[in-house]
Amino acid sequence: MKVIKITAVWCSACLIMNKRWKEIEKDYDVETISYDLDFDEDEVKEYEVGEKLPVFIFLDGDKEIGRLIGEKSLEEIKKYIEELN
Amino acid sequence: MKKLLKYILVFLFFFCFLVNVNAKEKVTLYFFHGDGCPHCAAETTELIKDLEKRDDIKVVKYEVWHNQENSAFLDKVMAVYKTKTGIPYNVIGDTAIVGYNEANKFEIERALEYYKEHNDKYRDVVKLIKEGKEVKINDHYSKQDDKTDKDTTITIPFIGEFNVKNISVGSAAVLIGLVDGFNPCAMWVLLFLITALIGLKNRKRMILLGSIFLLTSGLVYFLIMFSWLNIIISVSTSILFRTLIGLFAIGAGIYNLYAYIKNRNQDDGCDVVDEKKRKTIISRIKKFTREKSLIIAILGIMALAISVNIVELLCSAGLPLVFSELLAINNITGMKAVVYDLIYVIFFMLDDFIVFFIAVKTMDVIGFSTKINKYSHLIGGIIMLLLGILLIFAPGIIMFNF
Repeated sequence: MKVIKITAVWCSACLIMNKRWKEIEKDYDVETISYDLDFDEDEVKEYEVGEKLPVFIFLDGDKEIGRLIGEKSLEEIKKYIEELN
Repeated sequence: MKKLLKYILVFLFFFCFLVNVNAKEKVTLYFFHGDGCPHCAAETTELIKDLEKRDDIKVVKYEVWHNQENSAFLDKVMAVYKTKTGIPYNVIGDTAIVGYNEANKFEIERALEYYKEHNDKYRDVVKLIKEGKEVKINDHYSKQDDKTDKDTTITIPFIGEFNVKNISVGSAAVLIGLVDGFNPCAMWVLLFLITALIGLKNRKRMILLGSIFLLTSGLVYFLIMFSWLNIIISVSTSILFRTLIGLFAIGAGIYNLYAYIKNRNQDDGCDVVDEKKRKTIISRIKKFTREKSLIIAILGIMALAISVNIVELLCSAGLPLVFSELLAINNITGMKAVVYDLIYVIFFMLDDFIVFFIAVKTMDVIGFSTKINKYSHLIGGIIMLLLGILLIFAPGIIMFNF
């Protein structure tokens, strides 16, 4: 599964989620493409980031099948991914 | 004729004595108090009622919490005596005694006796002020404040003397500062700055510029808080002003509680800062951290810290304002106020210090969970609402300092 991860260096929730996502990458077969809100403006533009960060966009091919927004626990992330699968 | 002369002489003798008695001015205690102020109530019960029964002393009472005119008059009186502000405010001749406790009760009684015995030194200063006359105070009891503190001072082995009454205000400084500190408004700037500094791979420069940012931020916050306190002190006895701050605290408290209730089931995470503002600050941080001239880099970081903190202050104006009112209502001014404001700022910046310290140690940046922000809204809201209600309806409860 392809996942677009949009974070920002100034966002504390993103820092926490980056670490949790590394754990997820160990347990699940995910291909992560990371973008920074401030430094990858062109790429981020097409995903319409709302008012909260971080944003994880789950793709099946090029089609968005789910979106996880904000700070979540490891269990919540795992549960969400399993529901998508 | 001789008999008549004798009567005249006797009459003159008594007349002279009578004149002499009348020349003695009756000593007046001016008692400025507030309805609802527990220390005023205690003074009324324990002292004023007894003094009112006496013929040799006159008691004049001014209620200042519900009477605007009296409140304004007390401001004038306090300005003449140049004492700390607060009630109960007792005036006997040239002596003003602020607050009420066992020691002050003794001082009031002693001052009354002193002026009765040394009537030549007594003058009705309050009356002169009321008449609009200029008065220069010649206070015989200028060191009363030091004496009153002894009541609440205990000696702790190996540590020394400690004033118990400072605990409550100190606890408030720690608690409110800590809650205020978890306000996320300015944290994003620090996180970006640390990330930029880590990118330089120069620990010394990181420590220098990061410390300057934090110290400048703390100093700006401290100066704003201290200025507020001085403004509040100058008008602290005004009922209108205290009520306005109380209403502001209630409004801000309700807003914070509303923010908590509204967001409690929503996603935790970082609010995306306004793009234009974000880009401006980010470009400044990049520019100053990479600046070759260290002096320009330092000045730039200082300017950034000042501008960010002034703008972001609106984000958390409520708690420092309410804390300043808390200091004012407890008559904490001067060096004591500096110490309490410093305690507040240190705890306000505690999360920033932790993030920076860890970054320096590990050359990695960490963030606090945004869930804490949610609870800071809840706790901050409760504190503000509570203090607002107390400021308006029962200010006596938060007068820890008497």
